Amino acid sequence: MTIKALIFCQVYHNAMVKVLEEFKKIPEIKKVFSLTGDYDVLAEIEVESSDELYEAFSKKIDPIEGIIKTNTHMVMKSWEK
Amino acid sequence: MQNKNIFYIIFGNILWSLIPVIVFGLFNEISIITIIFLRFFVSGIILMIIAVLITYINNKYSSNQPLRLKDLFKFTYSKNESFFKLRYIYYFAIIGFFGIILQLIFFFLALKISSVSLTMIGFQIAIIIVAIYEHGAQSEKLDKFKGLYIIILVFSIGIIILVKSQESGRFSLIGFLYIIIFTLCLTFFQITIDKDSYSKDEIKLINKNELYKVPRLLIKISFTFFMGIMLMIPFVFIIYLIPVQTDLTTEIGQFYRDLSNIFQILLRWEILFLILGSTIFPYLLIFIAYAKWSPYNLTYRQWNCILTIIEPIGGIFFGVLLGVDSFPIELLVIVLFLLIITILLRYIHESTNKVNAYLLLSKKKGALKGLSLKILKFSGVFSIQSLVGTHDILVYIRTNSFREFRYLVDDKIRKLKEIENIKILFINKIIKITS
Repeated sequence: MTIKALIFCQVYHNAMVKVLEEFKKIPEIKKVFSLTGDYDVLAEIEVESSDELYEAFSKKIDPIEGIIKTNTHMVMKSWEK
Repeated sequence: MQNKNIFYIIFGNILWSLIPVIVFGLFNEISIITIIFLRFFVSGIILMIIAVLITYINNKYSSNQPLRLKDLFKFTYSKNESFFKLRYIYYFAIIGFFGIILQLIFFFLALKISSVSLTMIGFQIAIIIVAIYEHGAQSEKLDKFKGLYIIILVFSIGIIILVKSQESGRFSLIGFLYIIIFTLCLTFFQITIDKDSYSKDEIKLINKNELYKVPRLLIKISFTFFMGIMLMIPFVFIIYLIPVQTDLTTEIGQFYRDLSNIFQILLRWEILFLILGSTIFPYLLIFIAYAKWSPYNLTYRQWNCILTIIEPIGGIFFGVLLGVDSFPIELLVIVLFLLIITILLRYIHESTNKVNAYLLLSKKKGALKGLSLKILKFSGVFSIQSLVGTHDILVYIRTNSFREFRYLVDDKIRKLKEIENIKILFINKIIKITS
């Protein structure tokens, strides 16, 4: 079953372009948005298991330089119209 | 994918723009009432059959969630929250009769009495009135691009009127009156056709099977056609009884005579093309584009506003090209150039005024159930995600202006008592979208 999580990031002022480029390269991340507000970047990640989420997060996202902090939310249900 | 959908809208509008040249040759032999009756009655039946067929194919041959016909027709008896809370069936009757049937009656009368290019100014005027209405209704900003867009449209209308006023016999007061009534009906149609929102049950159905939107739209337009036709019959009867001879009375008299050989008329290539090529096919294209539209970048409605000018461009162009209208070539090039420029200006206006944002919401305890659907029903809200984390709900919003955004957030969402806190995150740029 696909697990979807939303990663909200705060990024250092001069590291935005680099962080976005790094996010673009990660295949598990399906959507990336540059934001204005309390967070600078929103990345939507889709994985098949919590193990895979941990792997992607710990090995690909966490090491990205320029990220100040992240706030991750798990998606329980999505609605569209 | 999105390019394909934009192409569908363009192609649909081109097919609609062929209507004047197709019907022009019929006016001497067949009543305009007969043409309208056959076009919408037969198209309504075929579109309804297509809706049922899509449902059947979905249920029989796909792994999608089955769609029940009962669910598809249920909405027609429910209340339309976006249109004075009238039942949908009455909403269909109002837009069917005033927005489609009356519009077409006066469009065809104007075509018959004046010329294709002069009649087509009705589209341009309707676009201008809708733009002013949207500004007045505070749903859209009248920025410099839209202002220039309106000025160019007015200028192109001026050139057309100037050219056509030189032609004797095709420039009359009564012709203008028909164009004005047609324009008002078209304006009414453009303003009211989108006054339609999904109910909570329908949003649930869409989230189980996105395809629901297509047969729903087909049923909506079929009912609109049928209700329009149903009201047209007593209308023409009453007009016929009024002892004043008008162009419409003549057409009604011809309609009664046409009824005796209605099937032969139906089999004429012009009528068949009008039904299949200029009604069913464009509506299917437009509806598929709508149902498959990606919520990111410009919305379906915005693209539709940008591309709606293709219909008068095509109408004037095909009218002159196929010899049913005359227009000095240099001025024709200028008019078409100006109208093409308006597409560009409208695109700039739509893309510079859009507001893309996420709202992170915290809800009060016990409010999770039902809150998502309540928010999703608001116009401008495209998706909702229920979350586990420091916030409870993520709302994706797209509006045409900051004014509309403020109205949605402050006057609609913030007023929901279940919501404790809202954090607004504006989207500067979409960096990556993969399905």
